[in-house]
Amino acid sequence: MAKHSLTSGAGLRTDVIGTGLIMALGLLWSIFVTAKGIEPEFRIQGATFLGGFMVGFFILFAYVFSGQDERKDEYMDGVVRAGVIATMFWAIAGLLVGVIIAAQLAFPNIFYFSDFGWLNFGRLRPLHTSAVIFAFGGNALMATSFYIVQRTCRTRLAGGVWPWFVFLGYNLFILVAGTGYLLGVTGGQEYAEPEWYADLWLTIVWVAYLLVYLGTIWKRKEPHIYVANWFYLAFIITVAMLHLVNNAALPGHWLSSNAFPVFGGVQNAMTQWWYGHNAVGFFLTAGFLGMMYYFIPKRVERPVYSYRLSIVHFWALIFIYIWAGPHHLHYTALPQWAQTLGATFSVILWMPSWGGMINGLMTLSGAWDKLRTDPVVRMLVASVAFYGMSTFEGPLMSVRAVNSLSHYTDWTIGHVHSGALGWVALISFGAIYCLVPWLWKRPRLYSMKLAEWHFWISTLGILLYITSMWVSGIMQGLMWRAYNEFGFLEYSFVETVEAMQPYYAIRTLGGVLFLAGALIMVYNLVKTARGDVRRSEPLAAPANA
Amino acid sequence: MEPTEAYKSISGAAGVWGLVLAVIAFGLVLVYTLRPSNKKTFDKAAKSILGEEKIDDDAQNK
Repeated sequence: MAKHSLTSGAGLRTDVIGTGLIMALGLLWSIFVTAKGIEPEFRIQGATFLGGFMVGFFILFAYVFSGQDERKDEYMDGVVRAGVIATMFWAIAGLLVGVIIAAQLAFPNIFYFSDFGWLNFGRLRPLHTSAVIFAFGGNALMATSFYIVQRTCRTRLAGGVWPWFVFLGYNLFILVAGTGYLLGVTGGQEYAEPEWYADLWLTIVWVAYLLVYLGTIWKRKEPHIYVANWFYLAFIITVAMLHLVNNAALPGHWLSSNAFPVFGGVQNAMTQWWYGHNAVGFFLTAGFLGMMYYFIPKRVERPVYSYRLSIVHFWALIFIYIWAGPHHLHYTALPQWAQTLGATFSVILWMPSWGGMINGLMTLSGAWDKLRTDPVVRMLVASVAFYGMSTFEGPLMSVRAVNSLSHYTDWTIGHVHSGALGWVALISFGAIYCLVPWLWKRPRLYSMKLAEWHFWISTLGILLYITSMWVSGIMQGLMWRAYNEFGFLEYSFVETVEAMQPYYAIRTLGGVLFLAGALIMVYNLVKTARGDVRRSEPLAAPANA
Repeated sequence: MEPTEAYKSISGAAGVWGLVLAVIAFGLVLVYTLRPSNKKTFDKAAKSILGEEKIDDDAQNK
């Protein structure tokens, strides 16, 4: 409250001073690193930061002198529009890298670039995972959360220029992290690869995100906080906690990119998978459930099926998810009771997950016809169906006996992608199909037909992806554990690799289809934003905004 | 290696009391959710996002 009135007055602009000060300090630091960094990779990282802060200052000046920030009578949608554009940019980039590494696995003779070491699988794989999860997913979450919190609170985003700082700062983090992987700069912990300085920068950005979100909720004009905001808030707070604990590390030297984790051995493994699984639970689930609880009711023009169920869904999910991490460490040095705890909580998660899925699907009751007429509704509903499917599969795989077959195989990869492509990507695409006409004030999408094509192409792509990984994963697991009559292993490792080749080719095809669908979407959105309406589909065609 | 007595007692107590706290917390959530007096708030909240969501900030709000 206090911050808001300070920032919106004509006098002291604490938001401009605060962001300016942070960037000035960052600028000084990055000049030092660019000049004096011990490793050349670190100097490049410093230069990337330097460029980012210079652009940041330019944008800050443009923002202050444009007078844009003085508008108090309308929602702050510029940052949401920018977020939507960033989301689609990173979607294409991340999916493209995914297709490339899938092709590297399927056709190593063609896609192994011996002259370009930085394009090898080991460097591109974390680039792919971070680009789709944190860049595509993260921007989608930020953009939709900024949109939803303003509407449901009936108030403009708090903090003046801070929302822009959050959005741009987050994308600078992604740029530094992503280019770092290509350079070989990595902490080596899955989904937490960025090194200490990038982690520190993300911490600053994330605290600002939390404060902007809380500040907006604080000055809300609705007495009750709509449930979607609860999910987003849980996502923001929990990710902050996970990030801080799992990345606790001591830099070897302040001019070196290398840092050493505080935890070692099995403690490090436990912290890492506590982080890793809750990145799934709170980044890839809670935040996107916030999306579900806003965009599905909004699109089908029906209140959520049961608001009470949504509250139970929320608290049960929050309380249970946080304990599921140890299921990543079956048959390791982790104490067995902890492994069992992880598996047990994973199985209990069936209840809230399916409660939430039913709540999302049943919101359509009385409006099921929209499933036939509106491809965007179909996309949202398909995403919730995939949410149900992958949250059924996950607990199954967390049971120790099943895990002994599935772990380290492609089954895991298939499972992750049924969640990531089916649930996360489709709900984000559905939300963005809703958002673009709303944000750019257009009567509807450029073409519903193209959205229809996108839906079917991407669904086919997902199905090819996950079914091929089921077959290849289970086959791989069975081949690894097959013994002959003398008690020797039946297959050598390379024989299992050879057997998987056709499935890797099918998976690549699935990825290509999914990428093609996303490219169709980008074309459709660009045309929509420009105000075009496809001539063969007149405006009267059945479609809501 | 046998776990130490301290380890066993701490991990055992954490398990038991964790379970008790989780059940109590879930009970409180159910009370909040199912309280008849909250029904009106929830019904209103569920409908609050439908239709045009006008900004409600004061025009003279500095």
